[in-house]
Formats: sequence, structure tokens, C-alpha cells
Amino acid sequence: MHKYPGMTCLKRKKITLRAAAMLLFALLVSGCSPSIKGWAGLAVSSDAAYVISADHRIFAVDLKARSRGEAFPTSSEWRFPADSNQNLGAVYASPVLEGGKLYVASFNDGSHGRLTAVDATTGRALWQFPPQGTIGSVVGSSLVRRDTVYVGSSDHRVYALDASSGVEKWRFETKNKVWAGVATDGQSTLYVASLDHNVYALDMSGGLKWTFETQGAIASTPLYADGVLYFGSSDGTLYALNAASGERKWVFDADSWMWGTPLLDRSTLFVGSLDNRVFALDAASGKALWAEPARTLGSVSVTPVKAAGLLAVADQEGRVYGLDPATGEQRWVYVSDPKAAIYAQMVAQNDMLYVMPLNDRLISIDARSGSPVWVFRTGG
Amino acid sequence: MPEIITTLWNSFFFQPILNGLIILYGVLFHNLALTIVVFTVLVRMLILPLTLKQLRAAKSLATLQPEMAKLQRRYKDDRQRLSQEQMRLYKERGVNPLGCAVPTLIQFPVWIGLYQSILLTLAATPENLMSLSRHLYPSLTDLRALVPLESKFLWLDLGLPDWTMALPLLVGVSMWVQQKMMTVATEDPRQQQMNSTMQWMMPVMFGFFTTQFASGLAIYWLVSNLISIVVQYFVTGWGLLTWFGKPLPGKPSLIPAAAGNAADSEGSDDTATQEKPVKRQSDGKSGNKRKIGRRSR
Repeated sequence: MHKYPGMTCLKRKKITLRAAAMLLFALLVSGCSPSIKGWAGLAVSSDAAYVISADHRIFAVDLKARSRGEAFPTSSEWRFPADSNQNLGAVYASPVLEGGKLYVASFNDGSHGRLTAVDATTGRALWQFPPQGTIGSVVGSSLVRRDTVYVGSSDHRVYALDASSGVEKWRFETKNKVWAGVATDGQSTLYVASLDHNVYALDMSGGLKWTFETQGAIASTPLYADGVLYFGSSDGTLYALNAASGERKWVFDADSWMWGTPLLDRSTLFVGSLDNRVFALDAASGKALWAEPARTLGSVSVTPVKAAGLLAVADQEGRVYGLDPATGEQRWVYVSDPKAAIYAQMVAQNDMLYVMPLNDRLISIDARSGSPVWVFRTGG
Repeated sequence: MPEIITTLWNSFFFQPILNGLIILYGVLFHNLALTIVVFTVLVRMLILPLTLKQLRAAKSLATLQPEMAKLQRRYKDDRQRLSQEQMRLYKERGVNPLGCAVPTLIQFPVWIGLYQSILLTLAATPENLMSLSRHLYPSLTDLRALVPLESKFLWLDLGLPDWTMALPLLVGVSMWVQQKMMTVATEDPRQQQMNSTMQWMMPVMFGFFTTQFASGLAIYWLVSNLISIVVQYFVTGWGLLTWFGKPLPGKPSLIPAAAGNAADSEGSDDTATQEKPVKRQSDGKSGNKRKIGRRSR
């Protein structure tokens, strides 16, 4: 028996209560701690798809072999890194396929990003940037033009690298993270959007041409088309700028963040918003074309795509919608199973949609009917 | 989490903290570290009445120890009666034995809300930034222009743990000091063991948390600990805290010590006699007095 049973009992209660409270706190805090998974989309060639798996590796997938249901990997398929104990860290940027090379930029733990170039045929690493150490985490996809790769980073910079060697050519510094991909007019100008609220126009050597300031952070890659630059900002506005001068042509106030890059189809812009709406706008004037915006169940942060004459839109409730591009009327809806949010950019090719929800699956959907054709689980 | 709990949490804790933090950031020169310091001071001011109640409850509990020991001896073979008598004593003296935990418990949601807010406002991940736009009050449109907040302060990225380990160390040390000040001395070996465990467990635990989570949250803990130390000092003095065995200058400890001594004999005075509003006791032991006297010199 304790010498002072009542006292011990009281103290024990107190200590138990504190321990329970600390445990509760630890559980809650660890529940709140960011488990960084990434949401990388995919790159698709005529016969292959390159996807980032849940265990943060690249999978080269033969589309024909997947449609035949053959066991992975076939002779043309590979994983990078091949060793399952290694990985790229969390990846948000969709891989970019250009000139037989695959460029994959990693976010990793939020402070150590890296760009890796991989041979698309063999899955062999060609180079890494930086060769030693890391840069800030990368969210936006790389842009490859001629012999240069452009990539934005959380260390506020945009890097221009030699595409064949990964050697740095120049860098440009903004005042906050660069999470958007770099856009270009294909001739003489690069467009960099930053969370510092600005869009910067640079010449191909990294020299500043002009800046345009909005009232919010810009996370989406600007769209360049016919001398006009389109992008959404967290101030709830979609901007259309004269790409040569940076002057405002028109604005569309959606009162909600348009995170994704707009899609331009002929003279119509399609763009989704984080408050579960999809808009069709006249690209020349910015006027809404549909009587009402199309409604989705979840937020839309992915750029819509056109396939089989329909507009395909994915939301964060794991749904893909086939909409009539003229009216916004829903023709079909596909619900991912198991249900998982879609943040990754989907790809349309030959009336097929390739979608990667956050459920570790690459899903091929018939864009005419919304029916799934095949599902490939990447593992991890 | 069920939807109703999420809604309640967002409406009553998370969103007010998030939007409040951003408003403060706008006012305080776009300096997030300063914002967190001011935010912490405001939160601690808000719960100051509860904190004072906690400290007084701890003091009152300590002063009851001689009487508790007496009851334990008297009813050592009748635990039910012992429990009844203890509760009666608490009631008579107006002491709530669970009152000590309330301010700590109340701060938990604040910690979690602040932690979530820091991650969202600093755009630690793209999901965070996306989620942020859903939690800003629509009527305060100017808030959109302030995010993401600037995360750099001195060598710190406030959205990431402090790699230099300076903050974990400061949080651990400040928590140890705080624990040391609030611990009640006892000669009961089991109680000593528990006190010792608590004294080390909390600083080590929070020091470890600081190595894992955003340093912005560590700033909250550090400032909060410093405020606790100051408040504790004015209510109870330095407690068991000494400088390598030597008493610290200033206010002597007002927490009665070594209640276990009281059980060894009856009929003498005890430290409770020095405390208000607790009544003068008659069954303590002079040993307590001696011990406090030593610390007070």
C-alpha cells in the first residue's frame, strides 16, 4: 500500500490527465502534419504514358500492353529509379516529354527540389540539376524550348538549364515562390508567374521586359495564345494581358481562385474555379458565354481538355465530367473508384482520357461515354 | 472526421485564428514572427484568468497536503471513506483538483489551429495554399492580397522546422524552467519519481515536436513558456528552481514544500499557514518550514 494513497491517487489522476492530453495533442498534431504526397500528372506519347507513382517513382507504361492487360513490366516498360528503395521525393509537376527525354522535377519535402532528366526509352538517368545539393521545391512543370529547360522553384527563382547537360545558363529571381510553369510565345519571350502576385515577361536570356501586378498570388501557368496572356490569380480574377506590352486587355471577376491554366478552344476560354464552377468565356472580350457556369461537386484545379467533341473537367471529389462545350450541359460523369481527388493534369488522346486520381491508379476513360477502359495500378 | 465536427472546428477555432493571424500580419509590418509573438500574448491574455485559477488551484492543493496525509492515516483501511473525506475537504476549501488542467487543455485547439494556419498561410504545400482560399472570410477581400505570408525570419523559414536546433533547445529549456517552478516538493519517493518524470517528459516532448513541426509554432511555444514563467513567478515565486543549488534572487517560493513530511508527525504548524486564502492548519510539521526557509534565504 502507498504511504499516502489519497495523495498518490490525486497526483496520478493529474498526471494521467496530462499524459492523455499530451497524447491527444500529439495525435492531433501528427494528424495535421503535412504528409506530402504530390499530385504529378502524366506525359503521354503516341504509344506510352509516363506516370509518377504513389511511391514517387516514374513508370513508363505501354498503352497497348495496358489495354491488353499484360503483366507489368513488358519489355518496353520500366521504372525509375529501378530500385524500389529509392525515389524522387514527392512530385507535383507533371513530367515533360521532349526530344526523347523525360524531365521530372521534384518537390520532395518542401525545401529540397531537383530536376532529373531521364532517357524516355531506357529509363536511364541522364543528368540532375543541381548535380550536388538541391534547389527549392518545384511545383510547376518544366518548359523545354530548343536546347533549354526552364523551371521555377520555391526558392523564388526561375532557372534556365542546358537541355543536354543540365548546366545552368541563367537564373531570374522573383519575390516569392514560383509554383507555376514557365510559358512562352515560342519566339522571344518567357512568362513567369509568381506567388509574389506578379507576372514577369523575360527575354530568352533572363532579362526583364515588363511586370504586371495583381492583387493575389499566381500559381497557375499562364496561357499564351495569339499575342494574349491568360492567367488566374488568388484575387478571384482571370486576367487577359497584351503579351507584348503587359497591358491589361480585360478581366473576368469570378470571385474565386482559378488555379488551373485556362483551355483555349477556337475563340472560347474554358477555366475551372476552386468554388466548384466551370466557366466558358469569350477569349476576345472575357464575357461569359454559358447562361450559367457548369457546376461540379468539388473544386476544379485542373485545366479542362477537349476530347471526342466534349469538354472534360476533373474535380477534387474524384469525378470527371463530360460537358457540352456550347452550353456547359453535363453529358456524363465518371466517379473514380476508390474515390480520390483529382489534382493532376489529365491528358486527352484519340478520344481517350488518361486520368490520375490520388488513388495510385492511371485510368483510361472513353471520352465519348465516360466509361473506364482500363485501370493500371502503379503500386507503391 | 465527421462533417459536423469539421464544420464546428473550422467555424469556431480554425477560421478565426487563420483570419485573425492574417489581419495581424497586415497590421504588424508583414512580419510573421512578430505576428505570432503578438498573437501568443493575446491568447495568453485571454486565458489569463484561467491560468491564475490554475496556479492558485495548484497552490491550494499543495497546502492541503498535511491534512490529506492525516486523512490517509486515519482511514488507511477504508478507501471509500478516505475518498469521501478527501472530496469533503476539497469542497470545504473550495479546491477543484482537476482545475489545474483546464488552461492547458484550452490551449490545445489554439495550438492546432495556429499550426494549421501557419502551414496554410505560408503555402508550405500547394494543397495548403489551395485550401487557404476556402477558409478566408469572403467579406475581408483584402486578406487575399496578403497571402502567402512571408516565411523568412532571421535564419528561420517559419513553415519548416529549425535546422539549427536553437528553437528546440530554447523551447525545451523554457519548458523545463516552467515545470521546475510549478512542481510541488515532496518526500514521498513515488511522488518524487512522478515529478521527476513530468519535469523531463514535457521539455523533451515539446523539444522533439519543435524539431518536427513548423518553427512558427515553436515561436508560439517559446513565447507562451516565457509568459508562463513570468506569471508563475508573480503567483508562486521561483518554486523549486535554483541556480546550481543556490536560491534565485527576488520572490521566494510561495508553494509549500515537502508535504510528505507532514505525515510523519502530527500537531505542528505547516507551510499552509503562510498561504491565503487557505486557513491556518494545525497538523503540519515544522520540517516544511525549515525547508522553505532554506530556499527563501
